[in-house]
Amino acid sequence: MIQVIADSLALGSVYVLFSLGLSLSWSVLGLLNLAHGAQFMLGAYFAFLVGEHFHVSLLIVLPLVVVAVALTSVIADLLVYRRLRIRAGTPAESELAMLVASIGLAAVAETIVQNATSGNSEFIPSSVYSVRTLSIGGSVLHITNIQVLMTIVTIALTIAFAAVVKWTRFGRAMRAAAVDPATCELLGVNANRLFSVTMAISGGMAGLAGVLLGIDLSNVSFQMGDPLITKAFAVIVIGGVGSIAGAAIGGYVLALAETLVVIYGPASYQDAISFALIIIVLLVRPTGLFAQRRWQRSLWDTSRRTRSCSSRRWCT
Amino acid sequence: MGYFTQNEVLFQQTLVYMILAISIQVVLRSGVVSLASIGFYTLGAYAGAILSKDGWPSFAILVLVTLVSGLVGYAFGRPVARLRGLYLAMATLAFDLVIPILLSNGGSFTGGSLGLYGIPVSISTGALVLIVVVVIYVVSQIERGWMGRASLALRSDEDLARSMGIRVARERYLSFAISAALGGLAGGLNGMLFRAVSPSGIGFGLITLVLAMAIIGGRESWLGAIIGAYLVTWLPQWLGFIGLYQNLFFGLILVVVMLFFPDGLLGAARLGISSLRRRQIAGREQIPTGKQMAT
Amino acid sequence: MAVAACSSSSSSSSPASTGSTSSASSTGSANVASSTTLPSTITVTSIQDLTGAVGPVGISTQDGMNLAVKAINSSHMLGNTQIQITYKDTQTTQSQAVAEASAAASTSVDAIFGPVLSTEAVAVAPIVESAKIPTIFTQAGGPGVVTPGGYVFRVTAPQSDYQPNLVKYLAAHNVKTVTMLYDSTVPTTAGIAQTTLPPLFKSAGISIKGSYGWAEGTSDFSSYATKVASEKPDAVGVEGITTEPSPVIIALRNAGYKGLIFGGTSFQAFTLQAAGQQAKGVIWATDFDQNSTDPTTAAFVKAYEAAYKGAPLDYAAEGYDAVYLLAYGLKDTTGTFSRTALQAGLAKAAKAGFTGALGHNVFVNQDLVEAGYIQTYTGSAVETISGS
Repeated sequence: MIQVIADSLALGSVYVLFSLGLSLSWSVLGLLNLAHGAQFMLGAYFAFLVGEHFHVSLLIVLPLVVVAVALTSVIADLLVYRRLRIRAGTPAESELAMLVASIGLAAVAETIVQNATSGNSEFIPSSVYSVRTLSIGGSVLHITNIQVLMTIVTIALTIAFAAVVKWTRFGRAMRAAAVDPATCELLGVNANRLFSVTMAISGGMAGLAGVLLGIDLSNVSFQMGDPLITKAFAVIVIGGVGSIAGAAIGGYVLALAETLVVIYGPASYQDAISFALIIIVLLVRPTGLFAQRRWQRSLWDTSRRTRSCSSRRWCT
Repeated sequence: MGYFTQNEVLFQQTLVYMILAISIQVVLRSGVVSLASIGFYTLGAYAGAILSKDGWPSFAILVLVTLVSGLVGYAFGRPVARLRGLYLAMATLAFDLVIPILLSNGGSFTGGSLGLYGIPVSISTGALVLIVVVVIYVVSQIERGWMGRASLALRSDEDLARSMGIRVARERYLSFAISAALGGLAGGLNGMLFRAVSPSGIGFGLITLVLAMAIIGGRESWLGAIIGAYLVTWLPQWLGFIGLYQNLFFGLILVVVMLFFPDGLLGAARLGISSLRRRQIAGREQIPTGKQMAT
Repeated sequence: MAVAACSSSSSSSSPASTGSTSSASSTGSANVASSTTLPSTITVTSIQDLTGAVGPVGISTQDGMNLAVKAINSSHMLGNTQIQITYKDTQTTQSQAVAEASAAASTSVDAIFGPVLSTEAVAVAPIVESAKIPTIFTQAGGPGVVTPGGYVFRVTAPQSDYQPNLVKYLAAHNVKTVTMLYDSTVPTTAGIAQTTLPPLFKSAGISIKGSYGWAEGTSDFSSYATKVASEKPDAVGVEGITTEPSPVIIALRNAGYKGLIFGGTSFQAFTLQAAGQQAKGVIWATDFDQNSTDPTTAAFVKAYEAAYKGAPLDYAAEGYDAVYLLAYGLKDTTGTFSRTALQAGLAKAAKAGFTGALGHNVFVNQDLVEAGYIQTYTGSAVETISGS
């Protein structure tokens, strides 16, 4: 039983880390970033490249990769997403346009890596981080050092992030911009710059998750991010968009449910769990279990979604 | 004619994709971001396969599959259509992706991971063309009629639409139902074309492909969906030299279209035509253009 | 021009060979070399999964085919006739495969090499049969693909052929209990785990403690590993495709499982290197032995490594032998050249068998049969334990 919890903690940490980034871009910009999986994959791939060619340790690889992936987010925002937001007539159009564009960007990134690796999988060399198993209490608990690292990083990052959102000026600006960017501008916040920074954070988290999971699985392949997107959907839906605590709890709950299915139930339905949860929660309790109406993107507020934008500078 | 017979299967595939693209366009037009028709496509293909093995003739299968999909779509349209925008997109995406998992765990009834093959009924290209023409006719009538105009109003401003007496909710269910029906029809046809169905072709790839068809062509009308389906199906053939970079090219096209042609190629064409006309008229009647007026 | 009327010509195939005739049995005995004039170019469309989930398999097959074509053409095995292959990519999509097959069948190409994926092969086979165009498949382990007397030939033995030896090996090594882990979304692996192995285990007196399938795209196997480790079976079978083996093995070892791990065709040096030392001692059954001292196989491996800078996978060997089957079939074609004549030639060549990269190839009902080899991983290299 304790092994089950340990497995769920490790798996859940990946889900949470990945989902936080997705939830961030969704709640603040209205971007359902289907390229998030590709950025996650880029994190793992960059780590592989750096590790293969330079044989440096995780301490150097990690910040390098996180910055690199964050940069891809910023570039995508500057070149594509920002223009789509400005051009859109209603927030709904902006959302759809950015969604479709993110699909295109994901295809570009994945095809490049696919060709660079000839479709094969690679693995991050152990010079970056050597994975060892820690056996606790004889055979009672088996856990690897990377799994422990993932869990610690996730919990620390989640708490830090929640603190930033709640208590710093930047956090307040982010929450305000999510609700009403026009008013924000009036109050002296450069909304466009804020959005780019948000994208950078979102991308950075995806990259971080990618490196850690790439090490954990000893596997880096160009498609590794795709299955995670739907899991992230489930996490966000369960927890409520924009709720950090919700994403954290949702991630661990999903991981626990999947682990239990494998251990006690028909294992091949493991993936179906996340899909089923999405559908059920959306139909029954769409705001999620921990919705905070304060800065959550409104589900029901149709008037806001379909009215024409008051400001010509963007539409979120 | 040699070209046609050589590429006949591709033509047939294009026709089926046209129906599928229209099924997405129909809902996008009224602002409902539903991808559910792809799930009905999968179910329709399997239902058709199973029924055909029981001896059902092709016409009966198609009618049944279309009707049942439409009814189920209408029934589900009620709770689902309450959701807005991206949430609806996500819910329908999850629906689309859970179906292949269930099917591949269905044992010998669904053929498991191998699927069902050796489907006894088939459909001729001529019949396929006829069906597509009928679909286009029905959809264009809807577009032109009260429901079509209501859809446009819905997308621009819902509250205004409601205040003008348009029954917003009913519009949503109807377009959802039509989308589902068309999806099921396309699925049934697909099974008859390729004589095999399997869960392996259904995934993110197919969903993005169909969404791209509706968007690239232009979601204002069925014509956009037709153009989009034709282009997206044939692009790999024309760009065969790109080889393994096909997906990248496809992704770039998506981004470029969203940036520069948000109304798709159809929208761009319409803009082009109307600006041409404007220049013609201005030339003929010496009507001051905007530039001249803004002194 | 190494073909004399009655000599077995199998060894003139590879460029690095020293010309020693290898096989003892009746290879090429039906070689009536010049009773038909072959066209100067034999055109073949090779429909492969070059991108998508099984892209690496398709690319490996393509590499093997290209090597064979080069060898056959440069050694003038068919006289002045050259083989020319055009490749089409299915993008691992069933409908694309079907479209390509129909298109190819309605052109004037002489033969088709089919896709490797079972779901695609199963849909393509009826089309090529009714179009009466000779088609050679590799992999493609689905049922009903090959009809005796028809136009379809397969140069990969079905899994049910070489699993018996594996099970025998397990039984001989005191394995009494087994747990299966497999990819449930791929017909080949699901078929092995659900259909092929259970009856073999039963008759060998091995009981199955558990059988768990994972869905394609699963990346975290720790919960599966935990489950298996708690059951403590004598051996664990891992049936996956492409690069799934290593993560599973690593997860099993991390969960504390120390017993024997066995697998299938996806177990190769290349896919196991990520697991490294943790995969030491795993065994698997395969149809290709790259360590074989058989001259044809050794020559193939050498040529492959020279051309592609890496060891060949079994898919490459299968592609290589598929082209050679075509070549032998062409030599056995009599009368006016046509697709039907080629089919008869292929049937004759298959019946006679030949020695290729896979070893001595024997066909029954146009389908390759062989007992296969058992190989193991030392932690850094592949060794062959036993084989046909």
